[in-house]
Order: sequence, then structure tokens, then C-alpha cells
Amino acid sequence: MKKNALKLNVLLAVAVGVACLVLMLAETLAPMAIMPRFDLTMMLGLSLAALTVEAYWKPGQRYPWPIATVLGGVTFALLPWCAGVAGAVPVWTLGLCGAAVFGIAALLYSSILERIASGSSPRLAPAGSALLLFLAGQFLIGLF
Amino acid sequence: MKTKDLIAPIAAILAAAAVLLAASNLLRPVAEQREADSRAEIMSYMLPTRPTSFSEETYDGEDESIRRIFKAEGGYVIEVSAAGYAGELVLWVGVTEDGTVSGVTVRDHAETFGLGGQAQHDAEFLWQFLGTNGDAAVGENVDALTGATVTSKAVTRAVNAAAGWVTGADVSSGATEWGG
Repeated sequence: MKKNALKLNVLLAVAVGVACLVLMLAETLAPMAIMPRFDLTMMLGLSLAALTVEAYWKPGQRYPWPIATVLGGVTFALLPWCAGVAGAVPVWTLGLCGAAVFGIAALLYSSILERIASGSSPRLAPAGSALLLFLAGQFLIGLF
Repeated sequence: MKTKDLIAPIAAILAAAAVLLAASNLLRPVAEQREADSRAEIMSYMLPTRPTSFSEETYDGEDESIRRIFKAEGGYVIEVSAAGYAGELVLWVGVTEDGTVSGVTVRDHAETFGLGGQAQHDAEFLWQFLGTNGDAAVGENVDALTGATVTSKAVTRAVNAAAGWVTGADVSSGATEWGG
């Protein structure tokens, strides 16, 4: 395992930034369209998207998880607030929820990948794991 | 972990924030104008008089489901909300001056795709509310969406609340409390 300079957080910033931009453009060009809300499910989806891209790009990376989680929270707080797509949700709530979702998703995702990536070319493992984790997370979020 | 390792992610976050802030400031006036135009167009279909201008009225009542009230010639379009299965539903309800519902449209929801989410598209379901006067009730004069009774009752509560505001009826009491 190699040390990594928090590339995952760069990917997360790109993913969240693109999602916020798409929501902002949709609000502008199609103001009456019902778009997905920037909620826990979307945070989970974006976290898993960044993790999946990173798993294909630089597999087997190791992160300082406390710092990565804090930066994840900052990303989820700052970018939706700047884009104005989070509605009336306070920034600190976005940050805390984002940090929790990103931290838990990253921990579970990397744990799953470490255990199932035993073959020589597990091409579908990162995408499949992300999909299953998203469905499980969506179900759990739906309980609250 | 070195301090310089933090530079790339922090720079990425700040750059993305700057781009979004600039885009937001650039697009906001356009978004507000288009939103107002689209709102007026949709609302004009919700009253029989097909009004072209609406004025927003202040609501200071106790019914928490009523969010905004727009008055026009011949009636009102009222923005109401109700707790659905997976989150809050927001509807616009057109109500004529005698309290008759003349239009219903779902403006926002987080209901399950294919079940409660059908409330947004199912014209047969929404059609049932037209002509009611705050007396809509699931199981009586309203057939619920298949597999989405909670959503159907939420829509019913919201529609009754809007009609009730015009007629002055207290829809939060008695049999209509749960929309059925």
C-alpha cells in the first residue's frame, strides 16, 4: 500500500462541484423540473462515485482517514452553499452530515474492496461494490 | 502525512467553490426571471378564468401546511405541503372563489419512484380532486394510488387544506385529518 496525497478529496471536490453545477443549471434552464435534492442519498452517491473513480485510477491507496473525512465535510458544506442548491439546510448541518456519510462510505468501501479484490483482474469489483453499497445506504437512509 | 499534501485537496475545494459562487451570481437573475415566467404560465392553467397576473398574499393563519398564496382574478393558487411517505410533498392547488378545486399539480416530492412518485404524473389520480370543496377523502371520493396510500392521503390532506383556507373550514379536525 502506498501513501497518497489525498487525491480522493480532489476527486470528491470535482464530483460535488459538477453535481452542484448541474443542479444550478437545471434550476436556471428548467426551473419547474423536479430535481433530486441535495440530501444524504446524493452525498452517498457522490462519495461512492469519487471512491470508484479513485479505485480504478489508483487502486490500493491508503489515506489518513481523519483528515480525509474532515476535508470531505468541508467539501459537502462549502460547495452546495456556494451554489445555493441546498435550500434552507444550514452549512454546519451539511458539513457534519457530509463528513459522516463520506467517512462511513469510504471506510466500508475500502474494507469491501480489500476483501473481495483477490482475483487477478477484478474489473467489476469497484463498480459493483459501489452500486451495492449505494443501494444498501439508500435503504438505510430511507428508514429515517 | 505532510502539510504540503493538504495543498492539492484544499486548492481543489476552493477552486470549485469560487467557480460555483461566480456561476451562482451570474445565473441567479436569469433563474429568478425564468422561474417567475414558468410559475405564471403553470398557474394560469389552474384557474378556469386563465388569469395572467397573480399577486402574492400574506398568510398569517395557523395551518402549517399552507406555504404561499397567490391571488388572481376568479380564485387563488395555493402552495401547500404535506408529509408523504419519504419526505415532504409540495403542491400547487387552484381554488376558485367559492372553494372549488380547479387545478392540482405536484411541485416537489421525494416519494418512491413508480409508487408514490406516480402522484406527480398520474392524471387519473389528480383528476379526482377537481370539483371537490375540501371534502376529498381517500376511500370515499378519491381512489388511492396503487401501493401508495400514504402519498395519496398526503395529497388529499394538502388539497383539502388549500380548499379549506378559501372556504374557511377547519380541515385539521375530525375525519379529514388523515385525508380519509
